[in-house]
Amino acid sequence: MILQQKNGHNYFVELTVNGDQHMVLVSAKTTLVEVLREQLGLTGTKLGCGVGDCGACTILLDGEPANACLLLALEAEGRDIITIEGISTNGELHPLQRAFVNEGAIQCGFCTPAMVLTGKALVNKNADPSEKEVREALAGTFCRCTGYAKIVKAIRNWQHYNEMPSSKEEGEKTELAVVGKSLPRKDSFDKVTGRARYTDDIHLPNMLYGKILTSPFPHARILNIDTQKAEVLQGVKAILTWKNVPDILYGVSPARYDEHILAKEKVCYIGDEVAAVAAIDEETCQKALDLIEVEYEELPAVFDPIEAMKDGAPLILERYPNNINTRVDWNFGDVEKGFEEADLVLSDTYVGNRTYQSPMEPHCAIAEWNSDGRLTLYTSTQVVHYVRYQLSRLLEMSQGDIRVIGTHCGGGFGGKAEVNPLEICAAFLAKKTGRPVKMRYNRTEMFYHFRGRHKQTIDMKIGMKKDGTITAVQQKSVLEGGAYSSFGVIAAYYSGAMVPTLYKLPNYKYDGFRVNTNLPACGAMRGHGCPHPRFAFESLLTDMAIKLELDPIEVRLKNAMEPDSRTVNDLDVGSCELKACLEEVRRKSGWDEKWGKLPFGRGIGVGCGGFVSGAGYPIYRSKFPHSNATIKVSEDGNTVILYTGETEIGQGSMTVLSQIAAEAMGITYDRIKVEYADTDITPLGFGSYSSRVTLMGGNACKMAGEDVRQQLLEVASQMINIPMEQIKSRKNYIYDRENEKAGIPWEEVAARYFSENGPLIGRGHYSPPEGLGGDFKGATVGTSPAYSFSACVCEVEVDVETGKVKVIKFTDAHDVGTPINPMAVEGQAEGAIAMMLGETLLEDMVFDKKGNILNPNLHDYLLPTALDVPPIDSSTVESYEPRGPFGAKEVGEGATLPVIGAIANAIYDAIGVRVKELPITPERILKALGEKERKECFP
Amino acid sequence: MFIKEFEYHRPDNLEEACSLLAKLPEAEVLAGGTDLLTDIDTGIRKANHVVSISRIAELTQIQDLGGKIAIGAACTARVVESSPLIQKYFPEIVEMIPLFASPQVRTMATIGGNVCSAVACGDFPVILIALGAKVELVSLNGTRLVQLKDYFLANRKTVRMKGEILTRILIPKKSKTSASHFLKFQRRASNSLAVASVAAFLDIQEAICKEARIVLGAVAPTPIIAKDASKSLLGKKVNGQIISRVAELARKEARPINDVRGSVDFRRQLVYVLTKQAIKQVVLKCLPRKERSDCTGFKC
Ligand SMILES: Cc1cc2nc3c(=O)[nH]c(=O)nc-3n(C[C@@H](O)[C@@H](O)[C@H](O)COP(=O)(O)OP(=O)(O)OC[C@H]3O[C@@H](n4cnc5c(N)ncnc54)[C@H](O)[C@@H]3O)c2cc1C
Ligand code: FES
Ligand code: FES
Repeated sequence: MILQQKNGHNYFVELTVNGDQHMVLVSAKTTLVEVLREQLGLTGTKLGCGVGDCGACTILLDGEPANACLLLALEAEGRDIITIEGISTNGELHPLQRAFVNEGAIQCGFCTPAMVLTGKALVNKNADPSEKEVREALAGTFCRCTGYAKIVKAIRNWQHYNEMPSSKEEGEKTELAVVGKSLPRKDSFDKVTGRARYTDDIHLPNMLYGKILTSPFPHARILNIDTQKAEVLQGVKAILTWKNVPDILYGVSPARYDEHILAKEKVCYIGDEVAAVAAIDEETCQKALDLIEVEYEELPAVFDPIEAMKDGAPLILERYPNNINTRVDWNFGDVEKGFEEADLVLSDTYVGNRTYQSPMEPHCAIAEWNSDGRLTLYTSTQVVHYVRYQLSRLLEMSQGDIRVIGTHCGGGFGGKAEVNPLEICAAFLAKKTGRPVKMRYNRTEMFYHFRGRHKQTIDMKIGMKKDGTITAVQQKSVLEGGAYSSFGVIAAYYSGAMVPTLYKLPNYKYDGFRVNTNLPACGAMRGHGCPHPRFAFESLLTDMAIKLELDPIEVRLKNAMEPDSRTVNDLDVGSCELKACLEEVRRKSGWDEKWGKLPFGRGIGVGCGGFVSGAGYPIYRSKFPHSNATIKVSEDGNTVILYTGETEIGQGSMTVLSQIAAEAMGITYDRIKVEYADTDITPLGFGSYSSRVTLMGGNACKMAGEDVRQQLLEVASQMINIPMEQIKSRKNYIYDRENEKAGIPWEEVAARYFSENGPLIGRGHYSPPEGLGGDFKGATVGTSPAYSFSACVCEVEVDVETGKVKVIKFTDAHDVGTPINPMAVEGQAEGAIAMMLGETLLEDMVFDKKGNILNPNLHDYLLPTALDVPPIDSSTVESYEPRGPFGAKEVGEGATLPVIGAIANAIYDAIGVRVKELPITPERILKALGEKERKECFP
Repeated sequence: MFIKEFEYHRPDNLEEACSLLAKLPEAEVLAGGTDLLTDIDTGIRKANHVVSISRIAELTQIQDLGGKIAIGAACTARVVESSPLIQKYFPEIVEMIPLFASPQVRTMATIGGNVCSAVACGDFPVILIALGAKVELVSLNGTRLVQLKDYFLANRKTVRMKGEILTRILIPKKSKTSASHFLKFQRRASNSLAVASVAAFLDIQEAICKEARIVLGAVAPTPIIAKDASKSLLGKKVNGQIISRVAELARKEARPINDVRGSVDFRRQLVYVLTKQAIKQVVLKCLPRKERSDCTGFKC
C-alpha cells in the first residue's frame, strides 16, 4: 500500500525484494535502482547508464528481466523483484553462477549480475536453450570484456554445474602444478554474487557528492566566474574554481603537462572543466552548477587537424605552434632505395575515426581526509601509482601521505589509465569541506571526458618484390588528438614504432603529427595508437598480394618476423611465433579451400598483430623497479597473501599473478590470496597499461615466491636432513627430489619458520633490461622485454543492397608465450575481437560543427551486442619467452591488432571494393560499390 | 537523472484515471515509463502529475471481438508477444517484437506507450498501420475511434487531446488471402532503433492484388503510408518487376532526414530494399504454394 506524505512528493511504499518486504520512503521520481542501491544496500544491481541502454541494472520483475533504472520504485510495488543477491542461497552458488565462475564468463564483473539474472530468467523457462536463444536473451546487456563467448557457454552448460565441479588443478599430470591451468578467477565468487564492491558501491558516513561544471563552448576565454548564487543554495558545501586551487599543470607525460585542475584563462573543448561543487546530493550539485554564472568570450575553434596545422589557424595552447603537439620524424634504412628495388609500389590513405573505450562501469572516485592530514582516495583506476603521483604534485604533499585504493574496476581499456578530474576535484572538495566526497560521471560525461582512441589519417606506402618480399615502407600519420596531450605523445610514436615489428622491413620511414583540436582529449586506448596503422598496413599488404597473384597468407609468411631479431627501428624481438600463428589460422579456418573461391557477397580475410609486453620505460623518469611484490605467509603456514601494486581491471591479472606466485612457492592455488592496488599496503606497481602486468608483475611475483620458497627450503633442509639443492616444493609438499616419500607438508615448514624467525616475508621486484632500444629521438617508445604475435582470419557476408556486413566467424591464434591461465587468455582474445568488431563496423564518435558529440550515449554509440559477435575459435601456439615468468608474455592488447585488417580484407574479398575509412558502415560500403560501378560503366 | 518532482497517482479504473487527467494540470500518463522518464529528464515532456495506468485491468487485456482483436494499451511488448490470440491471428506482430528494443525494455514498454510517444522511429505503429488498426481514445467526454494512419500529426504530435487515454488498439482480423510482414534495418543485430522500417500488407486473390498498404517508418516525421506504391499494386499480378517498381515508388515517397543513424540517400535506399523484401515475404505468406511459382523474378 502506498501512503502519501504530507508534502505530496514523498511516499511510503512496500517492496518485495528477494522475498523480503521492505518499507521505504521514496519520492515519486525515485527509480528502483536508486532504492536498491542506496536504501537497501543491494549494490549488486549496477548503474551503467541510467537510461535503459546498457542493461547493467537488470533485475527480475515477476521473473522477467527489466531495467531497474527505468522503473519507478512506486510502480514496483506489489511485484516480485529479484536481484543478484537473491540468486544464491545460504552462501551457496546457484549452478548457473557456478557455470559463470568455472567457464570463465566473468572479467571485470560489472555486467555479471545482469548476465546471471537474464540467464536465470531464460533457463527457468527453457532449461536447455540454443546458442541463438541465449544470445537473444543477452542482447539487452553489454559486456565490454568477454566478447560474450564464455557467457553464452556458461548459460548453455549450466546444468553441468548441478554438482560441484572438481578442481582443475587436479587433472592431467604436468610439471607445472598451477601455471598453465584454466583456474577460476580469484574474484569470481564476489563478482557472481554481486558482492564485489566497485567505487560507486562504497558509501562513507557523512559523505557529500561532487559534480563538475563544464564548458559549453569549444574554445572561449573565461571573463568572469560568479559563484555567489550557487554558494547560498541550501545544501551546497563548497565550490571550486581556478581561483581556489593551485596553479599547477598536470597530464601524463612530464614534458607535456598542459591541463589545469580547473580552466583558468580559457576553455578548449565542450566539456572542459570550469568549476566543481560539493553538496549533500548530486541533484543539489546540479542545481548549484546551474546557478554558477560564467562569462565567456567565444574564440574561433578548429576541429580538423589539417586545418589546425595551417598558419593562422586558431591556436589552442600557446606552447604548441601550429597546434602540433608532437612531431615524429623517423627514417630507418633507405626507403628511396627500397622502393627502387621493388617490383610493385602501392600507396593509399586510410582513416580511423575516434572510438571510445566505453567501459561498462562509469568513472567514480571518493576522497576522504583523515584526522592526521592524510588523504584516502578510492577510485576505479588502472594505475593507483600514477593517480597518487599526480595527486601529490597537485596537492603539494608527499606521496606517502596519500593512500590510493583501487577498488574493483568495471573495465578500463586505457580510459582509466591516467588521473582524472573526479579524483582531483574530489580530493580538493573533501579537503575544503572536511567530509568524504564522492564524484562520478554519468554516461554522457564519460564521453566528454573521453581519452579514447585518436582519429588517425594514415598514408601508407609499401614496396614489394614479385615474390612478395617487402623492400620498404613509408608512413605518415596525422593524429587528431583533441585539446590536451593526455597520452597523445606516446600514441604518435606508437603509431609508427609498432609497424616494423611484425614483418621484416628493411627500410622504414615514418612521419607522425599529433595535432590538437577543440575536441575532448584523446588518450590511450587498447592497442594504443597501433590498430589504425595496422589496419592500413594489413589492407595494403593484401591488396599487393592480390595484385601480384600471391596468397595473402603466403606473403605474410614470407615477411614474418623471426625469433631473436632486431627490427629496423632497433627493437629486440625475442620469442616470436608469428609463422606458427599464421599456419594455425590457415589450417583451422579452411583458408586454402576458401580464399578466392567464395561466391560474391561472401569473403575471407586475414590480418596479423602484436604488441609490447609492457613498456620498456616508465611514463615519468624514475629508477624504481616497474613491478614489485611482497608475500606474507600466515603464522600457521596455511594461507599466503600476495601484495602487489598492480591493478585488476577485469583482465584477470590477480588470478594470473596468484598462479605465478603459487607455482614459485610450491603451493596450490586455493592457499594464495591477493591484495592489490592499495598504495599504503601494496608495493609500487605501474599498473594496467601497455599490457605489462603478466610479464612485469608476474616476474616480481615469481621472485617474491621464490624468495619465500628459498627461505622455507633452508628450514626444511634442516627438518628432513636433506641438502637444499635436493629439495623440491610442489603442491603444498616439500620433499626429497629423489625420494618423494621423504617430505613434510609445506605449512609445517612455514610454521616452523615463523616460530624460529618471526614473519615469513617474500620480496620481489622487476625492472626491464637496461638499454632497451636505439638512441634516436623517441626510441624508448615501442621498447619492451618481449612482444606478442597473433593472426586472425575472419569470414563475412555482405548484403550488397543494404551494405550490411555480417561477420560469420573468427579464427585466431596467438603467441603469448606460456599461457599462465589458458581460459583467461581466451577470454582476452574473445573480448578483443568483439571490441574490434565494434570498432571496425559500428563504433564512431560523431561531432557536430560546433564540437558537440552527437552520440554521447549507448543507443547511438553502437557497442556490439551478443547477437553481433559470431563464434570465435581462439587458440595459442607453442611458445616460450625467456624474459617472461614461466615463459609468459602479453595478450590483452595484442589480440586487438589483427582484427580490423582481417575484417576489412574479408569484406574486400566478398565484394571487391575497399572501404578505407573506419568504421566500415553500410553507407560507406554502398558508396564504394557505387563508385566502382560508375568506374566500370565509364572507365 | 535529476528530474523535477512530480506527484504520483495510480487509479485502478479507467474513470478515475480520466477524471485525474481532466482535473490535474500538466499531467502525463505513465505506462511502462521507458520513454516518459527520459523525456521528462530531457525536458521533452513536462509533468507535475503522473497518472500510472499499469494497474487498470481493462487496459492490460487482449480480447477477441469476433472480427477484430483488441489489445489493451498497457499490454507490454512481452505480454503481446506471448499472447495466444496474437500468435494465432497476428504472427507478424510476434515476429516484429524481437526487433523491438531489448529484452529488458520489452518487459516494461507497452504497445500503447509506443504509439503515444509517436517518435518517427517507433516500431509498433508501422506494422499496426499496415494491419489497418484503429485506436480507441477515452476521456471524460466520451470515447472515439481513430484510424491509426490518421493518428500521427508530426514527430511526437498526435490527434490525442489532453485528458484522453489511449485504451485499446483494435486490429481487424485478416482474410485468408491476406498477409503482412514487418522489416527493420538497424545498424547492429539487435537492440537499436530503426534506420528505416517497412511493413507491407497485401490481399492477393487469385494471384491479383486486391488491397495493399506499404507503410514506412523512420523515414518521415511520422510513420507514413506510401500511397503511390500501395496503389500501384492494386489489380496487379505481384511479380518481381512490379515489386521493383513499387519499391522505387516507395523510395520516392520517403521523406527522410540526415542524422547519426543514417543519411537521406541511405535511408531511401533502405526503403527500396526493405519494401522489395517485405512484399516478397508477404507474397510467400499469402499465396497458396502452387501459385507462388507464378510470381517470377524472385525465388519462392
Ligand atoms: C533501450 C531502449 C531501446 C528502445 N528501443 C526501441 C525500439 O527498438 N523500437 C521502438 O519503437 N522503441 C524503442 N524504445 C522506446 C520504447 O521503449 C518506447 O517507445 C515504449 O514503447 C513506450 O512505452 P511505455 O509503456 O514505456 O511508455 P511511457 O514511457 O510510459 O509513455 C510514453 C508516452 O506515451 C504516453 N502514454 C503512454 N501510454 C499512454 C496511454 N495509454 N494513453 C495516453 N498516453 C499514453 C505517456 O504519457 C508518454 O508521453 C526503446 C527504449 C529504450 C529505453
Ligand atoms: S543503468 Fe539501466 S540500463 Fe544502463
Ligand atoms: S565482464 Fe562484462 S563488462 Fe566486464
